Amino acid sequence: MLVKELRQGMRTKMFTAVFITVQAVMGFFMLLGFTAGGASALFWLTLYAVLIIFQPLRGFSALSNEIKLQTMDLIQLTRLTAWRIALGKYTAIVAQSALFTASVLPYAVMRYYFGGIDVQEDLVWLFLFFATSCLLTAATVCFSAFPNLLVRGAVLIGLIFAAGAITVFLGDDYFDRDRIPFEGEPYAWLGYVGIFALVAYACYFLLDMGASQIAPEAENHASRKRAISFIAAGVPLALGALTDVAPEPLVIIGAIIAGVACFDALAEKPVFVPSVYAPFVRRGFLGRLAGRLLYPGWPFGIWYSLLMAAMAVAAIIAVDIKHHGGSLDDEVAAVLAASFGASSSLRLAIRLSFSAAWRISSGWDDPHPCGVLLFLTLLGIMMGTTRADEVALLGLPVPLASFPALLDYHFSGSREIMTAVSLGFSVLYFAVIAVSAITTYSRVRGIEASLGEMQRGQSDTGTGSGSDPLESEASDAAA
Amino acid sequence: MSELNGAAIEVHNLHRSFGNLKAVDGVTFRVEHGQVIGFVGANGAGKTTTMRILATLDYPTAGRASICGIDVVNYPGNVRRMLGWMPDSFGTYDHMTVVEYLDFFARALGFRGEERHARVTEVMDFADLGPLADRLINKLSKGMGQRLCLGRSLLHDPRVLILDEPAAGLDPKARVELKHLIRILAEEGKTIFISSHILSELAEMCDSLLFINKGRIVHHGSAEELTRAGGDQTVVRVELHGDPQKLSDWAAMSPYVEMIDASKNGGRLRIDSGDPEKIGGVLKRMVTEGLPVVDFHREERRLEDAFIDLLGKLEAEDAAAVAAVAAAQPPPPVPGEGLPTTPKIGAVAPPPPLPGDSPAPPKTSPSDAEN
Repeated sequence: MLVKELRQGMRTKMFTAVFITVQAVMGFFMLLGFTAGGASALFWLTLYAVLIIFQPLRGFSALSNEIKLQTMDLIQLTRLTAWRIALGKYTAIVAQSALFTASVLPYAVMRYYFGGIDVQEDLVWLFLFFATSCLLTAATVCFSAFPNLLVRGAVLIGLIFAAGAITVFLGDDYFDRDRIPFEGEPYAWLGYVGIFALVAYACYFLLDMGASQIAPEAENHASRKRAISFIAAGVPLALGALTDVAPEPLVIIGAIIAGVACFDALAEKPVFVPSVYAPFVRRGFLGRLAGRLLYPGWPFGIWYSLLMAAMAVAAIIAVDIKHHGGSLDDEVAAVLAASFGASSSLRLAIRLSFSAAWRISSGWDDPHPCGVLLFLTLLGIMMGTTRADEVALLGLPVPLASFPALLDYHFSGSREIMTAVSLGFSVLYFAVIAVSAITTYSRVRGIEASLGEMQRGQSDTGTGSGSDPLESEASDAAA
Repeated sequence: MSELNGAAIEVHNLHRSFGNLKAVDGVTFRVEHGQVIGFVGANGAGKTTTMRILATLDYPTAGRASICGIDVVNYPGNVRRMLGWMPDSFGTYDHMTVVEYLDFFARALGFRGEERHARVTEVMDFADLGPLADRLINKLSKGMGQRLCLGRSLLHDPRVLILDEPAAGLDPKARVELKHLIRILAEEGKTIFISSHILSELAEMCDSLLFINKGRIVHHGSAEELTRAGGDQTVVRVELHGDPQKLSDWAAMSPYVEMIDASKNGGRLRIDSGDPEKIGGVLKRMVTEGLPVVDFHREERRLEDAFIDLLGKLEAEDAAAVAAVAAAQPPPPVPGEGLPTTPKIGAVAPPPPLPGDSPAPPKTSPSDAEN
């Protein structure tokens, strides 16, 4: 895939034109001496335009073009898995971004010879630009698999805002003050490692989400994604809880990862293809137990979300006890209630918002989880920033939204009552979605039972599992 | 499980719905190894949906489908290894030559090094793509493109080939070339499942034909079986000296005779009998009633006609079933009951009496018959 994409991508007139333009602009700045006037800023602006805008935008047609040209079917019939298709597309664009980055390195070195430039600083900025470009490209490649123009349009708008936010952040905090992120801080290297790890995880998550859009149902993406997200959230949460290195930022990062993973798990469509469950059933009781957390579909996503919420809450309590002497008290109860509620209310909100007319063919089980998430987020922001108690009370039926309100120190009412009401709603929500998941549980139990019988039958007759097509299918997925 | 366990293609009670539309409605059939099967149906009959499900590119709403005994839903990866798929139209990549295209798919199919090179060369030789090796694929003609697409589907030497309208849009020369290639593949023992609108070509190539209509299989058998199935009818071509309108006027007035289509000097008539004596009787009547007949010869029943007749028969059966249900239901009490009522628009008429029944069937004008 990578070879084909590189062959095609680098032969396009657009790529050639942009590459030549970048070289011409850089050459022009070199003639100006790079430091004259705003040449230095223009150097970075050119890179910004190429890496943060031009290259990520190319990702928008990555998978959709194959679908539109009816070539996706043909590729899917080869041995390439959906993941490898998405990864190949992504890597080809990132490789071209790397080529752009490498092509300006000589100019960066020349800037040093012209004087007044710190090469190390330039290299850090190049790394950050490149990392941002990788992340945005992953997002565009992911959403290029969504057939619905509305979803892709919304993401495009989101990315424009994200690019704007990055510009403001970089411009205000660093360029104007002539410094780089984490400069002078004791664990600066950890910051860069953290950025790298976070970008790598986010890219994986986004690409897997895109891949699951084009994958057959028998290709299980959910289990691996959940397991990796568990580690990605668990590591910063554990580091934050157990070490003295930036505990709060680490816990916040871990909680954000956990939240995104929960959202994805709760919005997944249940799958009833036996081959998806076979690798778990083959591992006996422990396999089935793990399946309760890792099986695809929102009914199992509930338990996964509860586990992630519990992990985040445990880390918050640990940080509180270790660094604040356990002063959070009633906030901790509020966090517990809100986290429990968040995992169930989100699913319920997604479920309730179902409407065939508004159904977005996004591959997610329900129509507009993006809209629901946006609503909850906005409500949460409003709760977290307003000082009006009435508005805070409005958020009670939405425990996710009441989370910031409960932690808001400006709130003058009784936190105990709010916590109790929030917990009550959470339990109610949880009961409703648990009941609506019962049919899926019983259907999956049926599949497990028939697979178990098949397995026993094979071992009784002495037929090796090597001849089972399931084996090669599973090993393919593992590969 | 061996790859040869079970039939080459087995479909059992397959259903596929898109919203309220039932694209495939309980399709069941079985294709043995080495057979060439034609899949026939009007546009929207459910051919492509069935084929896409078999090719693991779509899911059934209910039912089972397997290729060489392997379930297409549960084990798509395994099925894909023994399946070659050629869609009705295939997209082209920009900036890619024929040899690069095949090389890409050979890589994607897991061939490495010399083996990959050998597979690409073999396929190019088979599909006669050698002279086009360095041509950009978006510059190929439709026929060349179809040959390339067939070549791509053969890269991994699949046991079963599913070809969806491979001859659509091809000129006669390209069609003959493609037919030749398919014939060679059939001789190699591959199972070929092919859909087409050109029934005569399918009849030549296929061991048997599957007819699908409104998502249901309506006939499974050889072309001969289908054409023979209409043995109680005969089609004759008649030419007159002078005004050809006389023939249609005469047919409109005659029992058991129906004008199928008109031509410059006459037309084709369907006679509701296969008995030579009765056919001779029709000619005798034409002559005695003053028609200037200069040519009268019996036509072999065409597959297209047989298919259209089959569809007509099914529609009549459906209409009869609807009418029977409507008749079985007691009429609702309405104010003014007993007064004569106006028939509703779209009300289903009772089926026409069968040939041989008396009285004579109702007559249709040639224009009705065309419609």
